[in-house]
Amino acid sequence: MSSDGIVSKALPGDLYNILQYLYQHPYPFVPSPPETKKRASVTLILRVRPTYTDWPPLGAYSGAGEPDVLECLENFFEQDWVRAGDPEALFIKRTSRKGDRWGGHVALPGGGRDPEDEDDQATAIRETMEEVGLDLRPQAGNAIPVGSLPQRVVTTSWVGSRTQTSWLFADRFMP
Amino acid sequence: MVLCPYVFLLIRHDIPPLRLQPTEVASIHWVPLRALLSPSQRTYESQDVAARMTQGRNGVVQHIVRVMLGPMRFCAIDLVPSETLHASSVPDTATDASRDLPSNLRYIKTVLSSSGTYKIRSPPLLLWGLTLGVLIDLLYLFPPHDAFDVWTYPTFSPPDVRFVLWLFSYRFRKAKQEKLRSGNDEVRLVIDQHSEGMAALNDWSFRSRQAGSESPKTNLDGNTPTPSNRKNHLGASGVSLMLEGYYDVVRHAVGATMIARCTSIIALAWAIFRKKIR
Repeated sequence: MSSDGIVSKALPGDLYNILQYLYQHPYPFVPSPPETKKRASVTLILRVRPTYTDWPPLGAYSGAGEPDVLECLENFFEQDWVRAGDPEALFIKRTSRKGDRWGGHVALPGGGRDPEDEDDQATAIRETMEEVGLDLRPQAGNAIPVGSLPQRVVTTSWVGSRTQTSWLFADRFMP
Repeated sequence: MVLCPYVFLLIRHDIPPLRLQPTEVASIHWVPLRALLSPSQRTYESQDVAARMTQGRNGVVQHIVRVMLGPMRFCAIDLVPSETLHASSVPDTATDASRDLPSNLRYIKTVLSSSGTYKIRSPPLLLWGLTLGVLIDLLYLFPPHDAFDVWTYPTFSPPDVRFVLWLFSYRFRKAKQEKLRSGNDEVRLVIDQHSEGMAALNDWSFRSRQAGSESPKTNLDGNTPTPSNRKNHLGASGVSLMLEGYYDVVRHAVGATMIARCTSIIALAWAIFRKKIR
Protein backbone atom coordinates (compact mmCIF):
# COMPACT_ATOMS: atom_id res chain seq x y z
CA MET A 1 0.00 0.00 0.00
CA SER A 2 1.14 3.55 -0.55
CA SER A 3 2.48 5.71 2.24
CA ASP A 4 0.53 8.70 3.42
CA GLY A 5 0.47 11.76 1.24
CA ILE A 6 1.27 9.89 -1.93
CA VAL A 7 -1.55 8.98 -4.25
CA SER A 8 -1.47 5.25 -4.77
CA LYS A 9 -1.53 4.29 -8.41
CA ALA A 10 -3.04 0.92 -7.63
CA LEU A 11 -5.95 2.17 -5.58
CA PRO A 12 -8.43 3.20 -8.32
CA GLY A 13 -7.84 -0.16 -9.98
CA ASP A 14 -8.43 -2.02 -6.75
CA LEU A 15 -11.53 0.05 -6.15
CA TYR A 16 -12.92 -0.79 -9.62
CA ASN A 17 -12.37 -4.44 -8.87
CA ILE A 18 -14.05 -4.24 -5.53
CA LEU A 19 -17.07 -2.28 -6.71
CA GLN A 20 -17.71 -4.76 -9.48
CA TYR A 21 -17.36 -7.53 -6.96
CA LEU A 22 -19.81 -5.87 -4.56
CA TYR A 23 -22.32 -5.32 -7.34
CA GLN A 24 -22.16 -8.89 -8.50
CA HIS A 25 -22.16 -10.46 -5.06
CA PRO A 26 -24.87 -8.82 -2.97
CA TYR A 27 -25.02 -9.74 0.69
CA PRO A 28 -28.10 -11.53 1.92
CA PHE A 29 -31.04 -9.70 3.40
CA VAL A 30 -31.02 -10.01 7.17
CA PRO A 31 -34.58 -10.23 8.49
CA SER A 32 -35.49 -8.30 11.62
CA PRO A 33 -35.21 -10.37 14.79
CA PRO A 34 -38.44 -11.01 16.68
CA GLU A 35 -37.58 -8.61 19.50
CA THR A 36 -37.39 -5.55 17.29
CA LYS A 37 -38.67 -4.62 13.86
CA LYS A 38 -36.56 -1.48 13.62
CA ARG A 39 -34.32 -1.12 10.60
CA ALA A 40 -31.87 1.60 9.68
CA SER A 41 -29.67 2.29 6.69
CA VAL A 42 -26.44 4.18 6.15
CA THR A 43 -24.68 5.19 2.97
CA LEU A 44 -21.00 4.78 2.27
CA ILE A 45 -20.44 7.32 -0.48
CA LEU A 46 -17.25 6.98 -2.46
CA ARG A 47 -15.78 9.40 -4.94
CA VAL A 48 -12.53 9.82 -6.84
CA ARG A 49 -10.76 13.08 -6.29
CA PRO A 50 -8.83 14.36 -9.31
CA THR A 51 -5.19 15.26 -8.84
CA TYR A 52 -3.67 18.51 -10.00
CA THR A 53 -1.92 17.05 -13.02
CA ASP A 54 -4.85 14.95 -14.22
CA TRP A 55 -7.89 17.13 -14.13
CA PRO A 56 -11.20 15.99 -15.68
CA PRO A 57 -11.76 17.56 -19.08
CA LEU A 58 -14.88 19.52 -19.89
CA GLY A 59 -17.58 17.14 -20.89
CA ALA A 60 -16.12 14.28 -18.89
CA TYR A 61 -18.26 11.15 -18.64
CA SER A 62 -21.24 11.84 -16.49
CA GLY A 63 -23.08 8.57 -16.65
CA ALA A 64 -26.26 10.33 -17.64
CA GLY A 65 -28.88 7.99 -18.95
CA GLU A 66 -26.79 4.88 -18.43
CA PRO A 67 -28.98 2.25 -16.79
CA ASP A 68 -26.45 -0.55 -16.55
CA VAL A 69 -24.29 -0.22 -13.44
CA LEU A 70 -21.45 -2.35 -14.78
CA GLU A 71 -21.35 -0.39 -18.02
CA CYS A 72 -21.30 2.80 -15.99
CA LEU A 73 -18.46 1.54 -13.80
CA GLU A 74 -16.44 0.56 -16.83
CA ASN A 75 -16.92 3.94 -18.50
CA PHE A 76 -16.13 5.74 -15.30
CA PHE A 77 -12.93 3.88 -14.49
CA GLU A 78 -11.73 4.09 -18.06
CA GLN A 79 -11.15 7.81 -17.72
CA ASP A 80 -7.59 9.03 -17.25
CA TRP A 81 -8.46 11.38 -14.43
CA VAL A 82 -10.06 8.54 -12.50
CA ARG A 83 -7.11 6.24 -13.01
CA ALA A 84 -4.84 8.93 -11.62
CA GLY A 85 -7.25 10.04 -8.93
CA ASP A 86 -7.54 9.54 -5.20
CA PRO A 87 -10.54 7.53 -3.94
CA GLU A 88 -12.29 8.99 -0.91
CA ALA A 89 -15.21 8.24 1.39
CA LEU A 90 -17.72 10.63 2.95
CA PHE A 91 -18.13 10.83 6.73
CA ILE A 92 -20.34 13.06 8.81
CA LYS A 93 -19.82 14.40 12.27
CA ARG A 94 -23.06 14.46 14.20
CA THR A 95 -24.22 17.65 15.84
CA SER A 96 -23.49 17.80 19.57
CA ARG A 97 -26.68 18.20 21.51
CA LYS A 98 -27.32 18.09 25.23
CA GLY A 99 -28.41 14.63 26.19
CA ASP A 100 -27.54 13.14 22.83
CA ARG A 101 -25.01 10.47 23.59
CA TRP A 102 -23.86 10.20 19.99
CA GLY A 103 -23.47 13.87 19.30
CA GLY A 104 -20.05 14.77 18.03
CA HIS A 105 -19.32 11.28 16.77
CA VAL A 106 -18.13 10.34 13.34
CA ALA A 107 -20.75 8.46 11.40
CA LEU A 108 -22.12 7.75 7.95
CA PRO A 109 -25.20 9.54 6.60
CA GLY A 110 -28.29 7.55 7.39
CA GLY A 111 -31.09 6.91 9.77
CA GLY A 112 -34.10 4.84 10.71
CA ARG A 113 -36.48 3.38 8.18
CA ASP A 114 -39.87 5.04 7.80
CA PRO A 115 -43.01 3.09 6.92
CA GLU A 116 -43.25 4.82 3.56
CA ASP A 117 -39.77 3.71 2.46
CA GLU A 118 -39.99 1.11 -0.27
CA ASP A 119 -36.95 -0.79 0.98
CA ASP A 120 -33.77 -0.32 2.98
CA GLN A 121 -31.97 1.24 0.03
CA ALA A 122 -34.73 3.82 -0.33
CA THR A 123 -34.21 4.67 3.36
CA ALA A 124 -30.52 5.21 2.70
CA ILE A 125 -31.25 7.53 -0.23
CA ARG A 126 -33.89 9.52 1.62
CA GLU A 127 -31.79 10.01 4.75
CA THR A 128 -28.76 11.09 2.76
CA MET A 129 -30.85 13.66 0.91
CA GLU A 130 -32.24 14.99 4.18
CA GLU A 131 -28.95 15.12 6.06
CA VAL A 132 -26.41 16.24 3.47
CA GLY A 133 -28.47 17.32 0.50
CA LEU A 134 -26.93 14.79 -1.87
CA ASP A 135 -29.38 13.16 -4.30
CA LEU A 136 -28.37 9.55 -4.74
CA ARG A 137 -31.30 8.51 -6.89
CA PRO A 138 -30.15 7.11 -10.24
CA GLN A 139 -32.17 9.70 -12.15
CA ALA A 140 -30.31 12.55 -10.47
CA GLY A 141 -27.12 11.51 -12.22
CA ASN A 142 -24.79 12.11 -9.29
CA ALA A 143 -24.08 8.59 -8.16
CA ILE A 144 -24.68 4.95 -8.93
CA PRO A 145 -25.64 2.28 -6.40
CA VAL A 146 -22.86 -0.28 -6.51
CA GLY A 147 -24.12 -2.60 -3.82
CA SER A 148 -24.21 -3.06 -0.11
CA LEU A 149 -22.13 -4.24 2.79
CA PRO A 150 -23.26 -6.91 5.23
CA GLN A 151 -26.39 -6.10 7.16
CA ARG A 152 -26.03 -6.63 10.87
CA VAL A 153 -28.22 -6.91 13.91
CA VAL A 154 -27.30 -4.41 16.59
CA THR A 155 -28.50 -4.40 20.12
CA THR A 156 -28.12 -2.13 23.10
CA SER A 157 -28.11 -4.95 25.60
CA TRP A 158 -25.05 -6.66 27.01
CA VAL A 159 -27.03 -9.52 28.36
CA GLY A 160 -29.18 -12.26 27.00
CA SER A 161 -29.02 -11.69 23.28
CA ARG A 162 -26.75 -13.90 21.23
CA THR A 163 -26.01 -10.99 18.98
CA GLN A 164 -24.32 -8.64 21.38
CA THR A 165 -22.34 -7.27 18.57
CA SER A 166 -22.61 -3.55 18.30
CA TRP A 167 -24.59 -3.01 21.43
CA LEU A 168 -23.04 0.27 22.25
CA PHE A 169 -23.79 1.98 19.04
CA ALA A 170 -27.41 1.46 18.25
CA ASP A 171 -28.74 4.28 20.35
CA ARG A 172 -28.48 7.02 17.86
CA PHE A 173 -30.95 5.27 15.63
CA MET A 174 -33.45 4.95 18.42
CA PRO A 175 -35.95 7.78 18.82
CA MET B 1 -32.39 -3.25 15.04
CA VAL B 2 -30.89 -4.22 11.70
CA LEU B 3 -28.34 -1.89 10.17
CA CYS B 4 -28.05 -1.92 6.36
CA PRO B 5 -25.09 -0.13 4.75
CA TYR B 6 -25.29 0.76 1.05
CA VAL B 7 -22.38 1.75 -1.15
CA PHE B 8 -22.65 4.48 -3.77
CA LEU B 9 -20.09 5.85 -6.19
CA LEU B 10 -20.18 9.46 -7.32
CA ILE B 11 -19.67 9.48 -11.05
CA ARG B 12 -19.33 13.21 -11.44
CA HIS B 13 -16.43 15.13 -9.98
CA ASP B 14 -18.53 18.30 -9.93
CA ILE B 15 -21.60 17.50 -7.86
CA PRO B 16 -23.71 20.42 -6.61
CA PRO B 17 -22.73 21.89 -3.21
CA LEU B 18 -23.95 19.83 -0.28
CA ARG B 19 -26.67 21.18 1.93
CA LEU B 20 -26.10 20.08 5.51
CA GLN B 21 -28.95 19.75 7.99
CA PRO B 22 -27.62 21.63 11.04
CA THR B 23 -29.75 19.79 13.61
CA GLU B 24 -28.28 16.46 12.55
CA VAL B 25 -24.96 17.11 10.88
CA ALA B 26 -22.27 19.41 12.20
CA SER B 27 -19.79 18.77 9.42
CA ILE B 28 -18.93 16.42 6.61
CA HIS B 29 -15.48 15.14 5.72
CA TRP B 30 -14.08 13.51 2.63
CA VAL B 31 -11.31 11.14 3.72
CA PRO B 32 -8.93 9.40 1.29
CA LEU B 33 -9.16 5.62 1.35
CA ARG B 34 -5.37 5.42 1.47
CA ALA B 35 -5.51 7.21 4.83
CA LEU B 36 -8.05 4.65 6.07
CA LEU B 37 -5.85 1.82 4.90
CA SER B 38 -2.73 3.31 6.44
CA PRO B 39 -1.52 1.79 9.71
CA SER B 40 -0.21 5.13 10.96
CA GLN B 41 -3.70 6.45 11.58
CA ARG B 42 -4.70 3.73 14.03
CA THR B 43 -5.48 4.82 17.56
CA TYR B 44 -8.15 4.25 20.19
CA GLU B 45 -11.23 5.93 21.62
CA SER B 46 -12.43 5.79 25.21
CA GLN B 47 -16.06 5.53 26.16
CA ASP B 48 -17.69 5.35 29.55
CA VAL B 49 -19.65 2.12 29.71
CA ALA B 50 -20.64 2.01 33.37
CA ALA B 51 -24.30 2.70 32.62
CA ARG B 52 -24.33 -0.02 30.01
CA MET B 53 -22.72 -2.56 32.30
CA THR B 54 -25.03 -1.94 35.19
CA GLN B 55 -27.93 -1.78 32.78
CA GLY B 56 -28.90 1.64 34.00
CA ARG B 57 -29.60 0.43 37.52
CA ASN B 58 -28.66 2.21 40.66
CA GLY B 59 -26.57 5.36 40.34
CA VAL B 60 -24.22 4.40 43.20
CA VAL B 61 -23.31 1.03 41.69
CA GLN B 62 -22.80 2.72 38.36
CA HIS B 63 -20.49 5.24 39.93
CA ILE B 64 -18.48 2.56 41.67
CA VAL B 65 -18.11 0.62 38.45
CA ARG B 66 -17.06 3.76 36.65
CA VAL B 67 -14.38 4.53 39.22
CA MET B 68 -13.08 0.98 39.40
CA LEU B 69 -13.01 0.24 35.69
CA GLY B 70 -12.55 3.51 33.95
CA PRO B 71 -13.71 3.91 30.39
CA MET B 72 -13.66 1.14 27.82
CA ARG B 73 -11.14 1.52 25.04
CA PHE B 74 -12.10 0.79 21.45
CA CYS B 75 -9.86 0.75 18.43
CA ALA B 76 -10.28 3.74 16.17
CA ILE B 77 -8.90 5.40 13.07
CA ASP B 78 -7.84 9.04 13.23
CA LEU B 79 -9.37 10.61 10.14
CA VAL B 80 -7.39 13.10 8.11
CA PRO B 81 -9.84 14.64 5.68
CA SER B 82 -8.91 16.15 2.36
CA GLU B 83 -12.05 18.28 2.39
CA THR B 84 -14.32 19.44 5.20
CA LEU B 85 -17.58 21.35 5.14
CA HIS B 86 -19.28 22.73 8.23
CA ALA B 87 -23.01 23.22 8.58
CA SER B 88 -24.23 26.74 9.08
CA SER B 89 -25.45 28.05 12.42
CA VAL B 90 -24.20 25.24 14.62
CA PRO B 91 -22.28 26.30 17.76
CA ASP B 92 -19.53 23.70 17.55
CA THR B 93 -18.47 24.70 14.03
CA ALA B 94 -15.92 27.07 15.54
CA THR B 95 -12.54 25.46 15.05
CA ASP B 96 -10.69 27.92 17.17
CA ALA B 97 -11.80 27.11 20.69
CA SER B 98 -9.05 29.30 22.04
CA ARG B 99 -10.97 32.42 21.11
CA ASP B 100 -12.63 31.97 24.45
CA LEU B 101 -9.32 32.21 26.23
CA PRO B 102 -8.23 35.56 27.59
CA SER B 103 -5.64 37.19 25.39
CA ASN B 104 -2.69 36.73 27.78
CA LEU B 105 -3.23 32.97 27.93
CA ARG B 106 -3.45 32.85 24.18
CA TYR B 107 -0.14 34.67 24.01
CA ILE B 108 1.50 32.15 26.32
CA LYS B 109 0.13 29.34 24.18
CA THR B 110 1.60 30.97 21.10
CA VAL B 111 5.01 31.39 22.70
CA LEU B 112 5.08 27.80 23.92
CA SER B 113 4.02 26.24 20.65
CA SER B 114 7.01 24.86 18.83
CA SER B 115 6.99 26.77 15.59
CA GLY B 116 6.04 30.04 17.18
CA THR B 117 2.91 30.38 15.10
CA TYR B 118 -0.44 29.64 16.61
CA LYS B 119 -1.77 26.27 15.52
CA ILE B 120 -5.47 25.78 15.37
CA ARG B 121 -6.22 22.18 16.13
CA SER B 122 -9.77 20.98 16.22
CA PRO B 123 -10.51 17.82 18.20
CA PRO B 124 -9.51 14.65 16.34
CA LEU B 125 -12.03 12.93 14.12
CA LEU B 126 -12.12 9.38 15.39
CA LEU B 127 -13.76 6.63 13.43
CA TRP B 128 -14.72 3.83 15.78
CA GLY B 129 -17.54 1.50 16.80
CA LEU B 130 -20.32 0.56 14.43
CA THR B 131 -19.16 2.93 11.70
CA LEU B 132 -15.63 1.52 11.85
CA GLY B 133 -17.15 -1.95 11.60
CA VAL B 134 -18.92 -0.95 8.38
CA LEU B 135 -15.73 0.56 6.95
CA ILE B 136 -13.67 -2.50 7.79
CA ASP B 137 -16.10 -4.60 5.79
CA LEU B 138 -15.11 -2.52 2.79
CA LEU B 139 -11.42 -2.03 3.61
CA TYR B 140 -10.64 -5.71 3.94
CA LEU B 141 -11.66 -6.20 0.32
CA PHE B 142 -8.60 -4.18 -0.68
CA PRO B 143 -5.39 -6.12 -1.16
CA PRO B 144 -3.55 -7.25 0.93
CA HIS B 145 -6.84 -7.99 2.74
CA ASP B 146 -5.37 -7.30 6.17
CA ALA B 147 -7.81 -4.73 7.52
CA PHE B 148 -8.86 -7.13 10.25
CA ASP B 149 -5.34 -7.43 11.59
CA VAL B 150 -5.56 -3.94 12.93
CA TRP B 151 -8.88 -4.35 14.63
CA THR B 152 -8.44 -4.93 18.33
CA TYR B 153 -10.97 -6.07 20.85
CA PRO B 154 -12.35 -3.46 23.24
CA THR B 155 -10.67 -3.47 26.64
CA PHE B 156 -10.19 -1.33 29.72
CA SER B 157 -7.28 0.76 30.99
CA PRO B 158 -6.53 -0.67 34.46
CA PRO B 159 -3.77 -3.26 33.96
CA ASP B 160 -5.34 -5.95 36.14
CA VAL B 161 -8.65 -5.85 34.27
CA ARG B 162 -6.84 -5.84 30.96
CA PHE B 163 -4.74 -8.82 31.91
CA VAL B 164 -7.67 -10.86 33.19
CA LEU B 165 -9.71 -9.98 30.12
CA TRP B 166 -6.83 -10.92 27.86
CA LEU B 167 -6.51 -14.22 29.66
CA PHE B 168 -10.20 -15.05 29.68
CA SER B 169 -10.65 -14.11 26.04
CA TYR B 170 -7.55 -15.86 24.69
CA ARG B 171 -9.18 -18.98 23.35
CA PHE B 172 -12.21 -17.04 22.21
CA ARG B 173 -10.07 -14.66 20.17
CA LYS B 174 -8.00 -17.41 18.63
CA ALA B 175 -11.11 -19.26 17.53
CA LYS B 176 -12.52 -16.13 15.95
CA GLN B 177 -9.25 -15.42 14.20
CA GLU B 178 -9.31 -18.86 12.65
CA LYS B 179 -12.86 -18.44 11.50
CA LEU B 180 -12.02 -15.08 10.01
CA ARG B 181 -8.91 -16.36 8.34
CA SER B 182 -10.76 -19.12 6.52
CA GLY B 183 -13.37 -16.64 5.38
CA ASN B 184 -10.64 -14.22 4.41
CA ASP B 185 -8.85 -16.79 2.29
CA GLU B 186 -12.01 -17.31 0.34
CA VAL B 187 -12.36 -13.59 -0.19
CA ARG B 188 -8.78 -13.30 -1.33
CA LEU B 189 -9.39 -16.10 -3.78
CA VAL B 190 -12.60 -14.70 -5.17
CA ILE B 191 -11.40 -11.14 -5.46
CA ASP B 192 -8.04 -12.06 -6.90
CA GLN B 193 -9.68 -14.39 -9.38
CA HIS B 194 -12.02 -11.58 -10.23
CA SER B 195 -9.14 -9.27 -10.96
CA GLU B 196 -7.30 -11.85 -13.03
CA GLY B 197 -10.36 -12.25 -15.14
CA MET B 198 -10.07 -8.61 -15.99
CA ALA B 199 -6.69 -8.22 -17.64
CA ALA B 200 -7.47 -4.56 -18.03
CA LEU B 201 -6.91 -3.84 -14.37
CA ASN B 202 -3.32 -4.96 -14.45
CA ASP B 203 -2.18 -3.03 -17.46
CA TRP B 204 -4.81 -0.34 -17.65
CA SER B 205 -5.65 -1.16 -21.24
CA PHE B 206 -9.33 -1.84 -21.23
CA ARG B 207 -9.43 -2.29 -24.95
CA SER B 208 -6.76 -4.93 -25.09
CA ARG B 209 -8.74 -7.65 -23.36
CA GLN B 210 -7.86 -11.05 -24.69
CA ALA B 211 -10.64 -12.63 -26.66
CA GLY B 212 -12.25 -15.25 -24.50
CA SER B 213 -11.05 -13.96 -21.15
CA GLU B 214 -13.98 -13.38 -18.90
CA SER B 215 -15.29 -9.90 -18.58
CA PRO B 216 -17.19 -9.13 -15.41
CA LYS B 217 -20.46 -8.97 -17.30
CA THR B 218 -20.22 -12.52 -18.52
CA ASN B 219 -19.79 -13.77 -14.98
CA LEU B 220 -23.37 -12.94 -14.24
CA ASP B 221 -25.88 -15.70 -14.68
CA GLY B 222 -28.76 -13.32 -15.05
CA ASN B 223 -29.19 -9.65 -15.66
CA THR B 224 -29.36 -8.61 -12.07
CA PRO B 225 -27.29 -10.05 -9.27
CA THR B 226 -29.28 -12.06 -6.78
CA PRO B 227 -28.22 -13.42 -3.41
CA SER B 228 -28.10 -16.92 -4.85
CA ASN B 229 -25.20 -15.89 -7.10
CA ARG B 230 -23.20 -15.22 -4.08
CA LYS B 231 -20.29 -17.32 -3.04
CA ASN B 232 -20.60 -16.63 0.62
CA HIS B 233 -17.29 -15.64 2.03
CA LEU B 234 -17.85 -14.22 5.45
CA GLY B 235 -21.50 -13.72 4.70
CA ALA B 236 -21.83 -11.26 7.50
CA SER B 237 -20.03 -8.29 8.91
CA GLY B 238 -16.54 -9.33 9.98
CA VAL B 239 -16.50 -7.13 13.04
CA SER B 240 -19.89 -8.45 14.11
CA LEU B 241 -18.55 -11.98 13.84
CA MET B 242 -15.53 -11.10 15.91
CA LEU B 243 -17.59 -9.45 18.60
CA GLU B 244 -20.33 -12.04 18.86
CA GLY B 245 -20.16 -13.42 22.36
CA TYR B 246 -17.29 -11.16 23.40
CA TYR B 247 -19.24 -9.14 25.90
CA ASP B 248 -20.11 -12.30 27.82
CA VAL B 249 -16.39 -12.82 28.25
CA VAL B 250 -15.97 -9.18 29.29
CA ARG B 251 -18.60 -9.52 32.00
CA HIS B 252 -16.93 -12.61 33.40
CA ALA B 253 -13.49 -11.07 33.31
CA VAL B 254 -14.65 -7.87 34.96
CA GLY B 255 -16.52 -9.85 37.60
CA ALA B 256 -13.45 -11.98 38.34
CA THR B 257 -11.21 -8.93 38.56
CA MET B 258 -13.54 -7.15 40.95
CA ILE B 259 -13.68 -10.22 43.18
CA ALA B 260 -9.89 -10.51 43.07
CA ARG B 261 -9.51 -6.86 43.98
CA CYS B 262 -11.95 -7.06 46.86
CA THR B 263 -10.28 -10.20 48.15
CA SER B 264 -6.85 -8.58 48.01
CA ILE B 265 -8.07 -5.49 49.80
CA ILE B 266 -9.71 -7.54 52.51
CA ALA B 267 -6.63 -9.72 52.87
CA LEU B 268 -4.41 -6.66 53.08
CA ALA B 269 -6.67 -4.99 55.62
CA TRP B 270 -6.74 -8.16 57.66
CA ALA B 271 -2.97 -8.45 57.58
CA ILE B 272 -2.54 -4.84 58.70
CA PHE B 273 -5.16 -5.27 61.39
CA ARG B 274 -3.44 -8.36 62.74
CA LYS B 275 -0.10 -6.62 62.73
CA LYS B 276 -1.56 -3.69 64.62
CA ILE B 277 -3.11 -5.75 67.36
CA ARG B 278 0.13 -7.59 68.00
